[in-house]
Amino acid sequence: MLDAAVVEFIHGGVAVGVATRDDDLRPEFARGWGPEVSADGRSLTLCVSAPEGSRMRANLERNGAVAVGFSPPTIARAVQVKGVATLVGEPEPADLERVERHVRSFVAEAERIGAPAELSERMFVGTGLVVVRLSIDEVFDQTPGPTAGRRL
Amino acid sequence: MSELSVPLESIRPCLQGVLPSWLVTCSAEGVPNATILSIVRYVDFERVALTRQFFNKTRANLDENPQALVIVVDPGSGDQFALDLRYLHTESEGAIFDEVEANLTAVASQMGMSDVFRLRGVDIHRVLRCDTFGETAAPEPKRSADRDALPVLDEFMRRLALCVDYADAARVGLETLDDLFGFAYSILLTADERGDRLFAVASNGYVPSGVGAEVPVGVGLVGVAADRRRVVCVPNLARTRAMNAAVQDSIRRSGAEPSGVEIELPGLERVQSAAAVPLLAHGELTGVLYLESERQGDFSPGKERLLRILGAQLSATLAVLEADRGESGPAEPAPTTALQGEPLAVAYYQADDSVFVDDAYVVKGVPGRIMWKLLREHAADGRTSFTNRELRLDERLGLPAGNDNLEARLLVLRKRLAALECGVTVERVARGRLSLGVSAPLTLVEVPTTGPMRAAHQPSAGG
Repeated sequence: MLDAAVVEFIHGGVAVGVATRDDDLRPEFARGWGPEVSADGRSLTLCVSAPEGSRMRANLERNGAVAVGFSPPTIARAVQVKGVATLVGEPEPADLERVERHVRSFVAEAERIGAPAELSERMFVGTGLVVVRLSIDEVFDQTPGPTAGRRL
Repeated sequence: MSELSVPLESIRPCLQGVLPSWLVTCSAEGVPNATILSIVRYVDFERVALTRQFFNKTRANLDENPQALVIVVDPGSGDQFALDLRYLHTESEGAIFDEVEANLTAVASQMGMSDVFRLRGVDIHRVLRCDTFGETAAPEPKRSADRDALPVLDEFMRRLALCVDYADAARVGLETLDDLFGFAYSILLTADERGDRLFAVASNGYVPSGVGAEVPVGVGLVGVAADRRRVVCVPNLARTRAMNAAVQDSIRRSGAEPSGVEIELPGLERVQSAAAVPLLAHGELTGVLYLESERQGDFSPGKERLLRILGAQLSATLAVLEADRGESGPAEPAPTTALQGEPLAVAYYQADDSVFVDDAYVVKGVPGRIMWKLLREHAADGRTSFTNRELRLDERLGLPAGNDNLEARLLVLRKRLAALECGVTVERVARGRLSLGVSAPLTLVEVPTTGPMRAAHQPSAGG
């Protein structure tokens, strides 16, 4: 479903934004960490801060509609994956390792364009971290330009 | 309308486009959408403007379901805020649109992407909720920064008022921007009387100074600020290229080759933010004040008001001093001594009025014509003392009546000569009076042109 170049992009030090919505179609947001595309390219696993009782947690559990955006700090490129959450649960040690690696590479990428590390590190919120697996139903190229929104 | 728990005024640094923001929407079918955008701009205490460039899906979603959420980040502290929005309407003209559009055009021009980035509109949203996001604590109410600016503005105006001439005001103005406001890198450019280009007359913080460098109107931050008569603030230039690259590019695209001898506009290698402030007097564009910083966020839209005030004060002072037609009485003539040593070879090219001393490029255009006049008269009768008035009356120099920019031209000439240490100097000795210094005998060569400028150099037919 996803070509290798897009997978490599998703696995780099990009900023990850996770969007869900409630029953009134009100959108909700959390930053995503440690994204990993499955070997068959059909699902995506990542961690988000979604504590018990939060809007994000309720949305994931009630309807599971998810969009995940990926963009480097330069925002020169952007990709979005849409699907439905098939798993919401406690992160395993392997998930947390991926989160840690991702935070480090995201901070390093942001530093390359002048954003201080202590600033980018504040983007990460570790409380109430859950692991989310979603089906990859659609993929869009959102790179700024006339082709933004093109299906990949 | 109930008050927001975090007032928008208190998070204005987040609403200036320094760091990208996540924007999420949802279609009528319940499919969410996450996109990243560069500018969320403060409109008033309950509204923000989002740029509408390419957000095709976002646009469709907002038409179906006007609910949106945007996450904004304070570029100084990393504090994050979540704003629940309701889309109201899109504006494709008017004050907010023009302001955002001028900024985007300037950045696009700087990046050489003028054809790609076109602002289609700004989406105006009402902010229903503004709360801290992530691990951000509620912000402390702050004192008004505008009130804190009054004492330094007072001092800025006091120092400018003490300036005795144009060159003095240009130098003091830029140094004072550094002293009082921390704007350590600045360039003052004056509009050419033809109105299609600007030339640098003074700079602060750069080596070399870049005095004499030219920027076409409409190109890069400086050129777009001039063209639109608007302050252009770019709080995050990390994604763009140096000003000079944009200028060189534009010259290349126009089919010409950038000339090797011309002076480059200076620029910080690690520039992170920049602003260009148009200078106006008598309702006309007189120049641009260009500022650069190695820090992100130094020139955010929140600084626009301050920059407009500083620009207005500087341009008013310069306009008054440029218009000064006064003249001191003649000084005692300096005793002339016979010059010794190797002669200085001075060449003047009619084609573009460029002057070279011992093969080193000095200056071109009007300052070149002025230099050539001074040197020829000196060669003829040893004169070293000249007045602004006789330059204004010399038709060969072609200075326009009225606003002739003579002081700015002389400043460029003086600074170029001083920087080159080529054995020729021009000094301002008194009000309206100049002194030419020459360290060795001169050999003057005028290189005629066969090009379109030929007629301008023919002696007049008389009458």
